[in-house]
Amino acid sequence: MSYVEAQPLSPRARRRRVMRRRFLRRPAAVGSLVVVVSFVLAAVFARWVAPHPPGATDFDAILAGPSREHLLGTDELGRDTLSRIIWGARASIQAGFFATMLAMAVAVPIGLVGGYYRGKVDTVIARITDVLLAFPFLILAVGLAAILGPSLLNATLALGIAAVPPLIRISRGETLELREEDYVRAAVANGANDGVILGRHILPNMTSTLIVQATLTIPAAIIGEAVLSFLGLGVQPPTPSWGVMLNAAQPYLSEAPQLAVYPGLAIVLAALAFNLLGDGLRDVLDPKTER
Amino acid sequence: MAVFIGRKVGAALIVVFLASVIVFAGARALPGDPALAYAAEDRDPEVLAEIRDKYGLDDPVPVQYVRWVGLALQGDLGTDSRGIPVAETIVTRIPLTLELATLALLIGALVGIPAGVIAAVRRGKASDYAATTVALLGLSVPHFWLGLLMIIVFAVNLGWLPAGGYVPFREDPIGNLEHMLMPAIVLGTGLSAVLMRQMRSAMLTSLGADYVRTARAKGLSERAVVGKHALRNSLITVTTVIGLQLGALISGAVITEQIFGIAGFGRLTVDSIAQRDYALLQGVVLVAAVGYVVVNLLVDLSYSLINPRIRVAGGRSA
Amino acid sequence: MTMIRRRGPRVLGAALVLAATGLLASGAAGSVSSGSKAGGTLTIALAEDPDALDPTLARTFVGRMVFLHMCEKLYDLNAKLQIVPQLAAGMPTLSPDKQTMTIKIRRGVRFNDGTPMNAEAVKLSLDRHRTLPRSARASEISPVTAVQVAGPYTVRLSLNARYSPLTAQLADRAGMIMSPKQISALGDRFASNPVCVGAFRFVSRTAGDRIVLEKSPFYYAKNKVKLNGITFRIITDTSARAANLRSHDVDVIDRIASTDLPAIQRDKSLRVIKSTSIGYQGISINVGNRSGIGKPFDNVGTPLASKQFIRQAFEASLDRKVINRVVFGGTVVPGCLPVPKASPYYDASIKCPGRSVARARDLLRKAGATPPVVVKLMIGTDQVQARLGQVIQSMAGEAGFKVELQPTEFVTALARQDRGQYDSFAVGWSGRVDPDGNIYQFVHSKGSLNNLGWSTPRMDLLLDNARKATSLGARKKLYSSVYRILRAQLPLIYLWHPVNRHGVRKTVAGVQTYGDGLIRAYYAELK
Repeated sequence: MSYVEAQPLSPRARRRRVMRRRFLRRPAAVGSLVVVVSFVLAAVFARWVAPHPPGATDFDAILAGPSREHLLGTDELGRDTLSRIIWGARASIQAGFFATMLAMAVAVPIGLVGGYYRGKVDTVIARITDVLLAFPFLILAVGLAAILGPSLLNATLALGIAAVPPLIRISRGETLELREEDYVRAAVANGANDGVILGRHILPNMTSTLIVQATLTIPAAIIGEAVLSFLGLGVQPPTPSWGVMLNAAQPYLSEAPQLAVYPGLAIVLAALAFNLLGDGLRDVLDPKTER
Repeated sequence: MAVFIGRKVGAALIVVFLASVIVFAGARALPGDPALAYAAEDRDPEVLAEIRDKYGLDDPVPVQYVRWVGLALQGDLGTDSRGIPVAETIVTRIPLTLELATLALLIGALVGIPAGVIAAVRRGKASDYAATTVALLGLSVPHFWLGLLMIIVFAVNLGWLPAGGYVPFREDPIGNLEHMLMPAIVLGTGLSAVLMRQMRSAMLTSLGADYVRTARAKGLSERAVVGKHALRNSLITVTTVIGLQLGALISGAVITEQIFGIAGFGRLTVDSIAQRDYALLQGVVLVAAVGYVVVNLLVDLSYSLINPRIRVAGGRSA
Repeated sequence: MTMIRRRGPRVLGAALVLAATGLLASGAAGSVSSGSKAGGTLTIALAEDPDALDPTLARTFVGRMVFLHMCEKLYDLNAKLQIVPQLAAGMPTLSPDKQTMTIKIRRGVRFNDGTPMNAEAVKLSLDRHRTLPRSARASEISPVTAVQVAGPYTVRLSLNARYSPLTAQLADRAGMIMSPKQISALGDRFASNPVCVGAFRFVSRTAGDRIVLEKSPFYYAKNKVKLNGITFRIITDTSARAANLRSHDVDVIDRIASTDLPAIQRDKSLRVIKSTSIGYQGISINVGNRSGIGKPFDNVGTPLASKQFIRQAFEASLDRKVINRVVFGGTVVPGCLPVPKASPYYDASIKCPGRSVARARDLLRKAGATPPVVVKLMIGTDQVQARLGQVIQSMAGEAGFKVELQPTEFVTALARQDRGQYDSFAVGWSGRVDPDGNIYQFVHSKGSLNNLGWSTPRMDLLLDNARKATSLGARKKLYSSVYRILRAQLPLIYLWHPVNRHGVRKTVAGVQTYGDGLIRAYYAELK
């Protein structure tokens, strides 16, 4: 009885409803979505969420323990740790999203072209990918920082570039498979031009894989930003960032280890949430994987 | 067959050439007078001019590049600002990173592969969820943070393991392993997480494959099915993964060596950039790129030897 | 099927072989002993990697620490920072016009390759310091025009002008004497295997890792030397260095960071030796360096450069005591002069001002500057510099300054400073025994390191006269006048003097440090 509807759902809408149900049935996925959304909201609305300004020093209350005033205590310059963690989320979310978007924007078209046309074009692309892969992201980041100066922008750039090669491989692989599908062959037989085929038939069918990959690239970028800021190659003090906070905490490991614990936990939580979310999305969107 | 290998090697050479050009150009793009790397605290302009003259730093860039490549092919990567031959420094420090990477790989494999197998075999049960969650944690924890925490707990507070440094294996095998244990664990954690997930997913695919079903139908014991067929095929997938993870391993080695004060090759890369030591920087990054390409080439060749489909159709890489 | 079945074990086998190779290969690396227990080898952890171990070319502070143990010099410092003879037989004598210096050389001394040291050898080294291209010593002994051998154990130096700091320079690298045999064998590549006179001699070096020395059988006082060898390990990270000391993986560490100090002080197996540095740390302000050192001065036009009142306001907004407490945990010595209190040239009548936001705002008003006054401050990239920068930013902010921090990697920062591409830079100087070494090259119009682009004719005159004067009293008076000009004009805001603290295990005796901050362990012994 339940499937007699006033308006029948289109195949796409029906699929979406199925996916939503499958998603909601997984507590881990739902939980991670909640955490991710909270992080993003906290980052965007930091000014209203954080109890103190992130740069407000208090030289008489350095390295203080938790109190009502400072829920997580203060750091080495008397600034509120909780507020700095909330503000630090901005750098992490920015780096995570923008690096991933940059990587997708570059990798997907290249992968599409390589997988679709194959032959010489594909070979050239494969070589370029190999060259890019030969430079680990840290070297790239250090080099960029040395040439352009360290900043969140340059760190995001380096992370984005480093994320490109695996995404090229994935989009290329997907394209290779999808081009053999019947509807694509039909479109080719009908004389549709390449742009239409790539844009109307192949790309939309890759979206679920791409969404999953994007969600899984973000946590790597978040950790990457922390690494680069930790090494002084990303966000510069006094701008808060979890990596910067960990770097500042390093000399205090024996005296005030809590300075190192909180930012690290924040990174783990954020990365874990995105990873779980990505896994959940993959289960739901990509029926090919047997889980 | 020979043509195939030849094509792969040729491709690798092109990559190495491009990498060398990028390295060279990149080093030149670094701001700051390279002569300063040789000048430390006192910087007399006349002296700097003499340094530039002696090392040919004012010659046109292509000329410098050709000179560098020519010498590099003979094994001479020049001398650094301290008067120590670059090749010597690299050769002395690579073994440390190799040992670190190898131990990390071992730990990663010893933990990740069995965990992945168990999770696949006991899919859906508690042990699967536990293993998957732990693997996810391994992917979400920044390993330099893990390193810091381990130093606090095991070196500073408990005093069980040294806080850093290195002792050559030949001199003191126990001491060597003591020094390497925490760094290897730190570096191997992320790797074990990736391996576990890949292993699990590969095992699940193989376990569902036709020939396995046939084997089961034939009445082979579950252990035989898992052990003989699924496991071996999965190991191949895993080898490919290790090849792909090399870049992450090198990056990870850099930070791990920094935190634990190991004078290895990874740190050399970063230090040379910071010090604007052109000769050192070029030599180091070039060797790193070449090493990476070579290992990838070997992995690639062995993978396609096993899987002829790849060779012919250019198929879909893992 | 069969092909696949054999792959698995082969892959595993390959992995094992790789592991074994890795382990064996690592054995091929590394050289002599690293531990401190066996055979009396002392392990010292240095904070940086020295540059070339060639006395003529060397420029780093840590390099001087290594040289102390393997490369003696004509003169040295004692614990009171007085100059005493080392390879010289006595203090130098000056001719009446003070332009000829005669030095008698100690007899019975051999280099670490067994060859004898005599006046010829001394002349060779001094000439090399003076004339080798790229020599870092040339400017230190520039007034010396000729070195003559006046006897088998006597050298005579001719100067083209009176130069009081000369003996102090000969108590540093410019006075180090190298083996002529090794110089002729290696020439420019002397650093690859340096041979001098020393309690220890060079064995090997791995860049960025360690420098290994062993007891020299040729040393003239070798019965005073108890150790069999010294290994210098390079550990740049301060907490790693401290951790290594606490776990007894090293015996001595160079420069304990203030954040590591409490744990080391609590450790009953360790002790701390300290001395206030003869150098300084502060903020250098670019007043007139528009296009590089040596080019004519041209005011760069920033607020700090344009008016001395603004510089004074900036200084008034800073609290040296708070900097000491918050950034360094109270472990440094606040100061406002280029020399510390321990220096005989210090002037106690000049008092350092305390912080006054009111006075700062007043000065800004007087200068006609309306807040926020922008100050771009270049700092280093380590944690201490980050703390310092943020504290300055916060304090100056209350007085109306908007401080923009520019964390810059050290080599680049030095380059920018030299080229005049900076507004202000938080930087210091490791210090020299003679105050001339802390002042002249920075603020004299002909100073080789005058990247401030600032000088005044009166300052030039005072500094030149101080070089020529020979009595302590006369020089003191001249330098006092120098200090007053510096305090009024503030091209350099001196903030503190570091206190060099080194950590030593209690099982090691005989390790000392003087005001120059160098670790002296040549006569140390392991108990």
